[in-house]
Amino acid sequence: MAAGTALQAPHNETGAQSAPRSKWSKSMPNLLVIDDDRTILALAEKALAPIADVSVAANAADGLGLLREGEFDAVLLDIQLPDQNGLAVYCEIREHDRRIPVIFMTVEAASNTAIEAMQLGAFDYIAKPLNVESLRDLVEKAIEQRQISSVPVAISADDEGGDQSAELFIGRSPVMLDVFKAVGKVAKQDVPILVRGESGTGKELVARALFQYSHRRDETFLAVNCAALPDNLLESELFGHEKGAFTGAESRRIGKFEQCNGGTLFLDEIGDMAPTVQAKVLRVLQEQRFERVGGNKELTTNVRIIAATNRPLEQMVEDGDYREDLLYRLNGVTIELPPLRDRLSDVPALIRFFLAQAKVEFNKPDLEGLSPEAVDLLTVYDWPGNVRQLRAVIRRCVLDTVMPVITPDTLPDAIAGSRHSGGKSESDKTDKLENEAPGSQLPQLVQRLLKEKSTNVYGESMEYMERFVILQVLQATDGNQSQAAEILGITRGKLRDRINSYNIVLKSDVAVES
Amino acid sequence: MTEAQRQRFAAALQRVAGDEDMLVMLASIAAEDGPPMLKQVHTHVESLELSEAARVGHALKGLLSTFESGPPVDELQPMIDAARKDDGNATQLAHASVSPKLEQLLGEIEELAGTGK
Repeated sequence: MAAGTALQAPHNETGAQSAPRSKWSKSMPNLLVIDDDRTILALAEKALAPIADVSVAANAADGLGLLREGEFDAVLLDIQLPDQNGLAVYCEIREHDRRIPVIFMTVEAASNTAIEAMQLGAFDYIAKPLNVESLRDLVEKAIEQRQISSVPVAISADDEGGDQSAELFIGRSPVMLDVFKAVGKVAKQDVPILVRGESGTGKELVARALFQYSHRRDETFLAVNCAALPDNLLESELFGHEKGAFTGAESRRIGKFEQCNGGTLFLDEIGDMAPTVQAKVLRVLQEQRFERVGGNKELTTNVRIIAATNRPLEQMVEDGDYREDLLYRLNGVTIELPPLRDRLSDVPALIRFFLAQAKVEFNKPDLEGLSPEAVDLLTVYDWPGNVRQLRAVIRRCVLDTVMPVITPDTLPDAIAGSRHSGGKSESDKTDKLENEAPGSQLPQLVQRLLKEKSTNVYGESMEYMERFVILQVLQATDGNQSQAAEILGITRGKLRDRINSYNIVLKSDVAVES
Repeated sequence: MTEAQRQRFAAALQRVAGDEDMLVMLASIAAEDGPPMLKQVHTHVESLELSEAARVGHALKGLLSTFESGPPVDELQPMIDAARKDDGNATQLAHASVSPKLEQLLGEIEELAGTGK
């Protein structure tokens, strides 16, 4: 066949009765192959005949002509065609039907063009010389994707995203309605508020909502994460310091309480505060007075404090790690945020919100939404990382998908896992190795999380390291928690909290088990 | 296919899932299309039509890679690269080095195609 001639693979004229049927529900899927290399066309026709009706074209013009006349489920496209660049042809295919998965074929798999093709949203690319089995697998996958993504979406990506603070008000579950009511009731009252809830439930969003609906909404809103700073720096951050107050204090610094005068200060992780800082915060709450670190002058401020924690403050008070008077000052009004697993009925609305945001942010105009199967999986998952995890998963899916519809294949294994898993999981094996050589499994853990498309690699790796460090120090101190806390440089309360959350068992013979 | 051909084209045979008929059919196409393409490469290199030399060289590389992905097919790349950089001397040198080996490969492919007749 001369280059430029369109070839049509022989179709069975006798109709469906004798037509070969593939594993897919409808009659044989249609595949278009565009390449000027006759060996590629011949190979594709022969090798792919069992799974598709193959039409071939030796140049872009003929290929696009066939495309406009027929209905194709996938396209195999050479990157370098005699009459047009493959990328330009790809753009025309997308204009015609943006749901068709396009697989590029290239002799130079590492070329910029191949990378560019993927960036443009190509389904995949395959290197020449073609391997028949890989080609067949890839084409099957593309056809399957095409058919799955032709199903109407369960959740559309085109709903209004709204601004970020709107995220809090998504959901109509009874527990969230209680939260909205509480926000409405107390926002305008100038009292301290304690927001409680697991990590990732949206405590800062509640604080922002309280601020936005308060009389102070035109004043400053500042947020400080108390767990993110060492005790001395936290004190300086909150109250400021005078020049020369400590080594490195080269000039006077104004703290957040001064900076936020008239406004609202959000103190996140309020349970992670050293006793000295607790005492100073208590004084601000009682008298609205404080001194800068290293200063004698008493300053006054008018700040509304909204605090948040996921720590058991009452237990910490009992253990002597938290001031009782501070707890009672803080928890006059408490808003409890439920974990996402207790309001799974809100998941679809949250997905819609995050999907619309990510679609705009990552510039994916072709994204239509999530398939019903994907939504089903997301609405039965227990979301240990709460709304933050859901948001991260949706963003990751939007980034990863090359098709207009997000299907279960795009979801992280931890969520889609129940469909695929069988036998002993990789994490079971890791646990066994971990027991044999504690701390040695970090590289494997990171690799596994990457493979599973986790959206919490940092968090899970840090937890692994933290658990290892705490275990080592507890073993070194024969289980003496005060000594361990001192060596670790954390409060006893924090150590106790971690011992509980990592299920570390301190045995009476001072061996430490996990 | 002879045993020697099975050994010579073992990798290619593996890529087509051991389907000897398919490999012979592909060889018959390459035996038809390859020689005129190689001739075109000669002509373009001699007359320093370097962008054309690169384009046809690339297509020839694709065609022959079905049968051999190592030398001499991968040795076409330095010639293609030099032609794309518009470096006439380097293109001619690379071409002179690879050309006889490609002719030999095309001969082997032609023989392979002949086994199907």
